[in-house]
Amino acid sequence: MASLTPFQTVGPYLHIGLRVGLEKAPAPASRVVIRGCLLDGKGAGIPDGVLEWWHPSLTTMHRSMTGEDGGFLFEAVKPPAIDGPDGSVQAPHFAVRVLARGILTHYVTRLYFADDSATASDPILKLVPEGRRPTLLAQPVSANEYRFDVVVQGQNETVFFDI
Amino acid sequence: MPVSPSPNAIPARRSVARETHPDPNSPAYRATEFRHPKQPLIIIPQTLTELTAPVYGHDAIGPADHDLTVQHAAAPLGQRIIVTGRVLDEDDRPVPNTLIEVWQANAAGRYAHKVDRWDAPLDANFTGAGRTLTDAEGRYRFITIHPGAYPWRNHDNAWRPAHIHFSLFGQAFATRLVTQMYFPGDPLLALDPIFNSVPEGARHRLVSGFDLSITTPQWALGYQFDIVLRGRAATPMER
Repeated sequence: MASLTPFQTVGPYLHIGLRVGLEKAPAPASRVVIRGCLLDGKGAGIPDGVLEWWHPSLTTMHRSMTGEDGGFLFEAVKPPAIDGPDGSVQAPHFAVRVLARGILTHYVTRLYFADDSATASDPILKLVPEGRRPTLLAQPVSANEYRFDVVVQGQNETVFFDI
Repeated sequence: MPVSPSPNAIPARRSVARETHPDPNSPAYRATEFRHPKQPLIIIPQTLTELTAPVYGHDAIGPADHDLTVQHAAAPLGQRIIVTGRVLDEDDRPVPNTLIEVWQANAAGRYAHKVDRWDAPLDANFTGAGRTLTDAEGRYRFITIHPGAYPWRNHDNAWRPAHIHFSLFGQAFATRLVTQMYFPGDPLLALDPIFNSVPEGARHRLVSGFDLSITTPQWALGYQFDIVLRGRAATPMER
């Protein structure tokens, strides 16, 4: 059996190399806009990070580079519900991967829509202790626009998964 | 762009992962202090979401993307090298048609990036970015120049060993890997907190090998760097 290659950090110059998947999403009526901030354990924005977004309904993996204040923007078509384990149904969600300077591996989480009626019964979300579930919920701020912060450490630390 | 068909579950082999990957809390690399989660990870089953990935076609790759020495008006300064290898899964099967992205400093150790303020010259003929797809046998090949070492502010007299950043997708969301390739015999490796964040028994996997059979006479030195992604074995998941 071949031995796994270890992870290393993307470092501060990630923008040079991570360039695919940065194309703007089209703008159909079903588009959702996600705005948020990638925050460290001191509550400061992480300016040298990238969030990668995936769902099987997408045709490319999307990337959002963080800005100087750690802020990011992601636009896509809202994903449909899909099959889950053992005949269950997964609520609309995105898988999210966080990479940054100071992150030696990758942190994997999910975004769910707080105002979607299917979210509460999602089989993966139910594996998360109830008190921490809100960290995975994007909150509506206007029609089709949501707020979703990712906190890598500390108070309201985002739930990260081992997949 | 099509989405890959849902593969079998990818074995988690969590004890292997612990012996392979860095601890996100690695105090010697100071930037990890406020950037590692303190809560335990929550184990979830792999669903369609974790077992699929985008499929990038050859139209995603330009003809000069794998050759970092021909992307500008003239050749960049520095030692021309070939970096090649295979991408495999844990069961030694090739990972074909998968996207690899690379980025690196120039021969003087300077990145073509606005936040790199080190006083070493930029090279107008070197961006330091490349990408390619593996072939049917999982092989890839880049042509570039040997990157320079450079100082950073992690600790007193800290220098990063020469390295090339690698980003790989694999065939599922769960197989993605981002890593760095190093060069054999570099005395800075023993001093580098990022390299040494990897458990000792796995560090050598990040060091490429000089290979005379890859070296092209009168043209370029050759280095081999094989990469192993999480496997696609049809065995039950470890829970």
